Amino acid sequence: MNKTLVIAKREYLYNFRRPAFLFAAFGIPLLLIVVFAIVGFALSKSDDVTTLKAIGYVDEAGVLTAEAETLELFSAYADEDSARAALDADVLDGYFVLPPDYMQTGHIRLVSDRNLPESLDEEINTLLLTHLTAQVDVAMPLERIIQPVDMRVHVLESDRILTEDAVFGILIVPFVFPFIMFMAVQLTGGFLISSISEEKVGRVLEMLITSVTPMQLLLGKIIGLGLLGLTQLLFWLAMGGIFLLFRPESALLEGLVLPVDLVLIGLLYFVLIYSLQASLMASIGAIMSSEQEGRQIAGILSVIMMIPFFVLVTFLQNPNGTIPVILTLIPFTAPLSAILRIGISNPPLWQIVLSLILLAAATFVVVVGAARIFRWSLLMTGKRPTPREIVRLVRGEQTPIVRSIQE
Amino acid sequence: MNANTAIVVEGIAKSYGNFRAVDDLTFDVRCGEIFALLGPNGSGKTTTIRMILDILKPDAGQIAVLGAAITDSTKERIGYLPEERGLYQGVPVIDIMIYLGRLKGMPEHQARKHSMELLDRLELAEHAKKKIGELSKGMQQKIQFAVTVLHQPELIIIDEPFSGLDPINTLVIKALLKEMRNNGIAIVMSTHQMNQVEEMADRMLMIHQGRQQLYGAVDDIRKQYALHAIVVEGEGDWAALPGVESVSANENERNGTLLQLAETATPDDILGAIAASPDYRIERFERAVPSLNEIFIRVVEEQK
Repeated sequence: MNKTLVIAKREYLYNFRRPAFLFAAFGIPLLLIVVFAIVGFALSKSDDVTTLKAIGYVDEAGVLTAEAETLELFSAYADEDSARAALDADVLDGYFVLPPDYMQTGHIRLVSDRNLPESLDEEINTLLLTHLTAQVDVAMPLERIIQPVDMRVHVLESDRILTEDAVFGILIVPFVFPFIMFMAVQLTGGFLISSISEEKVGRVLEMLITSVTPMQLLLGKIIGLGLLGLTQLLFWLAMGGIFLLFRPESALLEGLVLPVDLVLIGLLYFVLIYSLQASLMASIGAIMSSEQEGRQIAGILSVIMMIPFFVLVTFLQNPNGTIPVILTLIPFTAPLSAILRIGISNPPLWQIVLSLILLAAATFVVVVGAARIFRWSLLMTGKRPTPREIVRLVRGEQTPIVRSIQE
Repeated sequence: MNANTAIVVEGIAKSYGNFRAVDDLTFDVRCGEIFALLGPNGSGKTTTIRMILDILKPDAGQIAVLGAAITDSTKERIGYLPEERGLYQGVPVIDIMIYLGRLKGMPEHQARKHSMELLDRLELAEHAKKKIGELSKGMQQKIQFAVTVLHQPELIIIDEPFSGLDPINTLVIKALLKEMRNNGIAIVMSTHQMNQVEEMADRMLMIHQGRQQLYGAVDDIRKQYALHAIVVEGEGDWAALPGVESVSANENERNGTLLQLAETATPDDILGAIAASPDYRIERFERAVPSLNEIFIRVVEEQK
């Protein structure tokens, strides 16, 4: 097997078993699902009218006629006293009174000694609508009065027809996807720094020096940890999918499944930005004497990557404006900018292609530079180069090794 | 190049800015010998090794390793144990050995087999599944050594091989190195511990401030620096012996009395005279051959 792959495999398996990874990759989504499930279950329980015994009503306005069918849940009482007695006897969970001026005011009074589900409002609404419409002679289905609009959105660009909820779904992807990507890059980048720090502090690097080239070592780490990040990303997406499958009433899923193109472009951006970030983090890990220092600098890098989120309003107002276009072309901010714009608008293809080319070029330069810094770091421990020396290193000059190895 | 030569170094030099770390070194290392690279700290030993291993490029001169200029595939035939060495602490011994073996181009099953054999040899087989961090420092050093020779290299380069090793583990490693030498492997050890060189090395190169000071067979070099004198311990009037010019205390770590001989006298004459006289009782009699340490100090002093 190629040495790069041997290194990649080891990095993947070694870091996969780390508690920090297991928790972030599997623990957090599982925890979220459990929390959502419990809250959802509790909410649905408390909002379920079928748990009610009966609701009484006193019709002082004479609206609830006998001609319309009354729902099973409700039972009529002649006056409020008898309704109150039934409530006290625990025959009713509550009752409502339609006062004589109901037709003028629309006011009703609900009386209960306990918490009633919110959806009871809807039931009462339906009850009243049923009875009121029975008194007016209109030749239209009751459903149209209750729900006059059930909108389907026809997205011309993709020729897809979505329900309203699904439209929300397609909008949420450009926000959720970069966030998960950010998490994955952060976590695996952090592993990269600690992996390099461990080898440096533990004096393992020089042991490896006659076995592998710095480039093999660097690429092996980037590939291994990149696959780890991808594993996390896919697991999160899969969990999101499963979560939505279990809630079929939510049409969100319809919107989430749709943007396959968006997901593919997203993955391409992920691979590139990850390689860029990882190489930078590897260089930082190689230069900094402690893991903590490295992580602080890496944190700043991540913030730069998140700039498009800070100017989100600009993106939403005019996705093809000057600032979003510029941010799409700058390699660090390109992934978030491009995904946001593709999600909420239809940016010109040339901008996306150019953005990908610039990002790929930047990634290439940084990977090569990182390998040089990495090579140099093999030769020294405990000393840090000046910014000028780093520039000379990246350009391939050997001179900065000077101070480091005068034995 | 001779087929029995593992390393040929011709006129290499390396400067760091104005600092000349290595200056015009020429030497070779043969297969089946232990070659010592000697010198005080900062003399250019590690820089020389790094140039041999292609970690650094020499400013001038040429280096051939195992028959040609070094390539990535040559590196797989070399075992290198740097002075700054360590292993992943949280990883089981056998896993790390297989991993490093694979990075040297070994198939997994072979790396596992060799690892177990070596661990057995080093009396560490029972610790194969323990994590490195759980082992004592001496055991960790033996593992580092095992990792260096795991892929059965033709050339082994060890920087300060015995630093930090306890006497028992030192013996184990020495025995293993000698065995490998006898099997035709070239071994380069860089050290400033002269006594190790006297005991182990066949040939040596001593450098000081990046320049060659002494180069050749260890025995030859010591004889070359031998005095026309003998060292004795015992009782008697040493100055009264015929052929003895002067008597002084032997000013080195091995004590005794130093007898400077007249140009015409030989050690045999002196021994004969001692044996013939009842006035002398002898406990020790040897040629005054300086230790490498003494030679080393003399060479450095002469430089000043």
